[in-house]
Parts: sequence; C-alpha cells; structure tokens
Amino acid sequence: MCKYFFSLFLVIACAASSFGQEKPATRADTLKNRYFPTGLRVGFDAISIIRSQDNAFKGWEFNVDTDFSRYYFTVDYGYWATNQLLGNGNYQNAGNYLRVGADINFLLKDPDKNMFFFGLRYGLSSFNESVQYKNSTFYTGFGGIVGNETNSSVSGNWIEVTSGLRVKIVGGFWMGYTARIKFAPSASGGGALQPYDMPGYGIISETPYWGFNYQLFWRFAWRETPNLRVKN
Amino acid sequence: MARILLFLLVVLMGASCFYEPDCLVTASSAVKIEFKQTKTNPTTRVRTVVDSALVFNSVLVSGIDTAYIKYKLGQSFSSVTLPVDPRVKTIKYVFNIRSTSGVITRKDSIVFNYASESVVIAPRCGAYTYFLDLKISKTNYDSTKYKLVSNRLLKGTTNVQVFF
Repeated sequence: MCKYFFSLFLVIACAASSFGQEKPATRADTLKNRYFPTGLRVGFDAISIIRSQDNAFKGWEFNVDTDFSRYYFTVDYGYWATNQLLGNGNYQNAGNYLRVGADINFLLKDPDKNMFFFGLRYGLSSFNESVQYKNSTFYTGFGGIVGNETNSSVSGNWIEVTSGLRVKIVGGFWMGYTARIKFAPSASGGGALQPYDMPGYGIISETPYWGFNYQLFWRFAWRETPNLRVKN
Repeated sequence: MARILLFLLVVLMGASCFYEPDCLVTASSAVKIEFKQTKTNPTTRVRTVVDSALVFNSVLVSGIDTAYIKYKLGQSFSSVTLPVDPRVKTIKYVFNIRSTSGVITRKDSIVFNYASESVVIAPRCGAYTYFLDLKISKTNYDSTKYKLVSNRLLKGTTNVQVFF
C-alpha cells in the first residue's frame, strides 16, 4: 500500500513541476552549441562512507556526469561488501558495480544549472558471496547439517528509474541526492548458493528495490553555460 | 522551492517504505509419495482416481539403519512423506507391503536423484537448503504406474503419485 502511495506522490510531483514551466516566446534550440558539454561533475556518495563505519557494510561510490543541454550522461562506479548475521549463520558478499544512464533536467531556467531530474540507469554487478549456516532440526531422520556454500563469480544486471536534485552550493561545489527504484534484477554464475545480495542492487528476490544516495560533487567547467532563457 | 520541498517529502515517504521481507520458509527435506488407484464405475464407465490405502510391514530409507515406518495394527497409508539425505544426491526407498494375512506380499523400491541449493531467506529467518530437480532414476514400478508431479521438495507439495 505504501509503495502505491509513494507512486501517487511521484506523479503529483511531476505534475507540479510541469505546471511551473512557462511557454517560451521563441524556440530555445536556436542557441549555438547547446548540446556541447559545458563541464564534468565528479562526486561521491556520502551515505556509503557513513555506512562503512559499521562492520556489516563496507563500500564507496563515485559519480560522474556531463551535460548535453538539459540531458545528462551519467556513470556511477562503486564497491559494496556486506557481512550479515543470519538467524542461523552468516552471509558475506563483496563486489563492484557500474551504472550507466541518462538524466533529464526539469529546471531549465535556473541560471546555476541546478537540477531536478528524472533518469534511467542500466546497472551491472560482479561479485562473490558465501554463506555458512546450521539447520539443527530440519532434516528429518538425518539429524542436523552445516551448510557452507560459496559463489566465487556471479554477474548480474538490473534497471533503475531515478530522480533527484543537484544544487550548486558555492563555486564548483555541488550537493545532491538520487532516489532509485531498482527492478528487473538478474544474476548468473551462482552455484549451490542462490545469489542473494547483489552489490549496487540489493536483495535480488525483492523487486522493486529502493536505493538512496546523498552525493557531494565538484564540477569542472570548461565553457560558459548557454543561457537557455528566451528573450521576448 | 515549493516543488523541491514537495519532492523531499516524497523521498522521505519513500524511505519509510523500506520493509522487512516475509519470513516464509517453504523448503522441505522430504519426498511426498501418494498411493492411488483407478476405479471404473460399472454403469457409467467413468474412470476416477481415488486414494489407495496400503499397510506396510516396513518402509526402509537408505542411510537410516532402522525401518522408517514399522507395522502397527490398524495403520494404513494413502501417502508417505520420506526424508532425503542432504549429504548425498540419491536416496532409495523400499516398501514392504503387508497383506491382511500378515506376510509380505510385495516389495517395491524407488530410487531418486536430486540436487540442492542454499537459499538465504532473510537475515532474521536464516538460510535453508532447498531440494530440486527430483528424478526417479530406478524403480520396479512400470513407467505407466507412477507420475512425477513436482520435482521440487516444498512443504505441502506432492512429488510422486504411484498407481496400483
């Protein structure tokens, strides 16, 4: 029920942003070189760094994006390792992931190029995982057993719909967040252990799966941002 | 700014939607075998499948030294649920079927092959072994007299039907 409520608000948010747009008097695409990138924004995820203070999670994530007018090409690369205490054992995984995608900026008139965006990502992950557990009463007639399984090379992929903000704080320093709805996970290469937690995605058996990053960026600009405001 | 605040609100609500997975363990470590017979109505000639109640002198399971099921007066079975050995990939069941006079009238056996995989359900629930790819590798039953209904060992699921 909660996810439907959330989806409803997402639709309202989209509608609210579109109502805020004014019709241009003339077409904005008359600007020269508007699709030529004006800079490169490089950043990292602060939440991964904070979560890494806990023994159950170690990870980091770098983010890069560049603009093509209102469209942004974006790449995320990260590492994620977990050590999870189970009700009857332990589970560990570690691996790297890559997300490639594009965002559309809906704040066209902002002179600082602040962003409120929606985007799509394709995620790839390569990881290993292992589990140790004990079922003491499960095997009728054969007593308990200790399970110890490892997947040494699992690869997977998924799709994300993203939304978020990028706000210029001062100079080239930017902050922002990205909320992710991840779905259609797929993993291959698992052996006697069914792949469980895919770095970059999360619990594979759950879809959709939510993600959230709070990001700090530095933007390297190599030319002035074209003014997309239209003169009357 | 109002739009930004609205979106922040939406994100916070979304974050509150994170949920713990259900602790639903469907794994079973036993094969369920049902005994059936086909009956034909003499007037309508309609054939129906009904349960067949068997009396066992004993049921033996490979890897277990003593009889898994022993004869008890008045006890009959229309189905049996027999364990698989998680340490190996094959198991043999022997059914010593008892006649009403008390002598063993029939000795049937069935050998299953299977695979297994470990599945982490959720941190709170833990990990379990799921048995899958169940196959009948050897049996004295005629191939028309048995049917593999499900090749996964799950709670409440019948795996094989044997017809008498």
